[in-house]
Amino acid sequence: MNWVISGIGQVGPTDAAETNWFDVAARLPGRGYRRLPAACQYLIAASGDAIHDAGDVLSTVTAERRAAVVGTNNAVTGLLAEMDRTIIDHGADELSPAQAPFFAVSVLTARLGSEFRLHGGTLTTHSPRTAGLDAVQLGARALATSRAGLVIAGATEAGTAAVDRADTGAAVLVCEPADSARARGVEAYGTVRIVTAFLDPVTPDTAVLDARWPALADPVDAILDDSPVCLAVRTWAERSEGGMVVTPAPGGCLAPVRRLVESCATGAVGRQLVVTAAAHGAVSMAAVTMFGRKPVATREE
Amino acid sequence: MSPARRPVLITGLGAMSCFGSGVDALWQGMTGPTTLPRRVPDPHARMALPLMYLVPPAAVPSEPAVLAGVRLGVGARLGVAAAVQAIADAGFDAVTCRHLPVAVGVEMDNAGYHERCRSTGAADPGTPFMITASAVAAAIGTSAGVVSVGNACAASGYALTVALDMIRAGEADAVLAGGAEGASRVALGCFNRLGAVDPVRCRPFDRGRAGTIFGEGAAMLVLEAEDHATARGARAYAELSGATWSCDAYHLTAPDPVGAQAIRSMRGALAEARLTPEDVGAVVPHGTGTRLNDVVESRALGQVFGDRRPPILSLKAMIGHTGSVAGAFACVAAALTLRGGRLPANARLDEQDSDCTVWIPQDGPTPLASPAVLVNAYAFGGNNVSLVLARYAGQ
Repeated sequence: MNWVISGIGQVGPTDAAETNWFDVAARLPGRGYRRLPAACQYLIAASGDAIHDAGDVLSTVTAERRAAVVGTNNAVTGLLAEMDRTIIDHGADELSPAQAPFFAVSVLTARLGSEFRLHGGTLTTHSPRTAGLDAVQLGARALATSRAGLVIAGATEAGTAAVDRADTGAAVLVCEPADSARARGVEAYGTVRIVTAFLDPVTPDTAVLDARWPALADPVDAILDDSPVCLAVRTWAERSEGGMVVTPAPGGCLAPVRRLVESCATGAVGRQLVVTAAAHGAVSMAAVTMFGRKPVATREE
Repeated sequence: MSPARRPVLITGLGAMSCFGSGVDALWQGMTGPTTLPRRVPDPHARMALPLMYLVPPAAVPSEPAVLAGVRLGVGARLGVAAAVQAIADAGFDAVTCRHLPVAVGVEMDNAGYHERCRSTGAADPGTPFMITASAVAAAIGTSAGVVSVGNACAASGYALTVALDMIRAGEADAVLAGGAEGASRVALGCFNRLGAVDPVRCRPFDRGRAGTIFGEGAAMLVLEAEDHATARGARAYAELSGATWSCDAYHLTAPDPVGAQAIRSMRGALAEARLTPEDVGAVVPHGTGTRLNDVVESRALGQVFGDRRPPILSLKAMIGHTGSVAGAFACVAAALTLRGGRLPANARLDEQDSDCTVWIPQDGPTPLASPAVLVNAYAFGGNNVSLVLARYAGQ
């Protein structure tokens, strides 16, 4: 099935060192948001922006056909450490009952369920570095297999001191069948095809990448670290006729999804390959085809 | 939903449970005396009820110890052990494994190792702590890709659905899917804080139930396209013939008392399998021992099956609530039940809750009167998954 991106949204600091950049009262007015974990707040805000950007999509897709798939690596890393410290030092009775459910990171994604009445199901992915693109891939498959008629797909992270170069914020795509977007009269941003592979972490062999992606012609935007797996992927992707830009990977899975959002937001027509990998073996390649749509004004503007 | 009709079979099983290593140990334990939880051997687990159904220490493998510089905790090692069992059971060699994608459901994953570091005063290992899926992929030697899936207590049920869809979509001929979880002080502490832990044992549907009790373990299944399995002469435990997701979108921890989405999942899975409630010979319910889940699920089962109540297998009374692994364990149990044609006797209840009108045979094995087993797995956040395993006619 052909599917398209009909809405995009993202939140994040303008500067990596910026603190207190997210005003929850302003971005999420109303009850019940202030005590949510930060990554959950970011996710709800970005998802709301993406849904707004997609037009009147919720009124055309029944609740049973709406789903969400969200990737994260560090959304609750800091929270788990705090909780554990509380248990060790003071006992479990001192845990906050409001925070307790979030020991399960998937509850952050599930919170989108009640926010937007996603009766079709919510799912979380968390492979290191690739989880965000994994979420988009699972969402696309849910559309292709008709498990859903609308998928909110993306990634969220909350920076924590425990993570080197931790990323923070959220990036979200609204994904739907091309026919559905066309019927709604909505112009699509583009589409994405994601291919994954796994390389041995010690002796990575990129032959499988040749088989997965025989013709490498598009500009490559690579988000990689200096592990053997990433170095192998970098060497493999350098041969792209379209050239390659390499960005040192921040901690988390958010950056590749941000690239998808930003590619859509340029309003350009074209193709791009976003590539990322993790030291532990997972490799994900997202081929983005941009249709040239420019974003509508955000809810804040 | 209109799924592709490429039949998907279950051709390999692996398990690590409180009964020890292997599927045989699991089945022997399921058919043996009632198991009891024990106190976790963690002096820092400062909580009222630090109880779990733990994998016997002698059964916990020490390898693999590390993946790309990340030390692997108990959960990851259990996952690898179950995965190796499953692919051996399926008869897969190294060449086949190179093309075998991996989909693993986890929720706490390597958090237990991080907690041990805090206990000993060692430096925080940082991240990542979601590492089991990658450890499994590395251990079996795949090049095909890996996905780590989270959905709390429904995670491995969702992972199995992801695997099912991959095969139906033609992306793979076979997928290794399941779940793995080791003990986590934080998870146990949070359930204690929420008042959701039973002081005695895991007693689903019992009048005196007061919560659930977690269990450690791992369960892995090889899902394989029928044409691929037939071509290599593989035998199958069952067909995974239907699966449906839903989400209550009601409350973060409590199920929707009406159970509309849980009912929809069950009916959807049966419809996808092209079966009716009359075709279901047994149900492996989510059945946790919490006050709300058991009564809501009982009523939902009543809506689906009406007056005809198939027997249930209350698996968590035997192995505890294995969190993210619950769905995969339930499917392993369902596959074994279908192979043997009989449902094991349930752990004896003290007194069944009259509000939980399910049939829980306790006096001995129950023959399967119909050729399918329905599996339910429900999660914090209200996510539900129902799966249908059917007797495979081709074997």
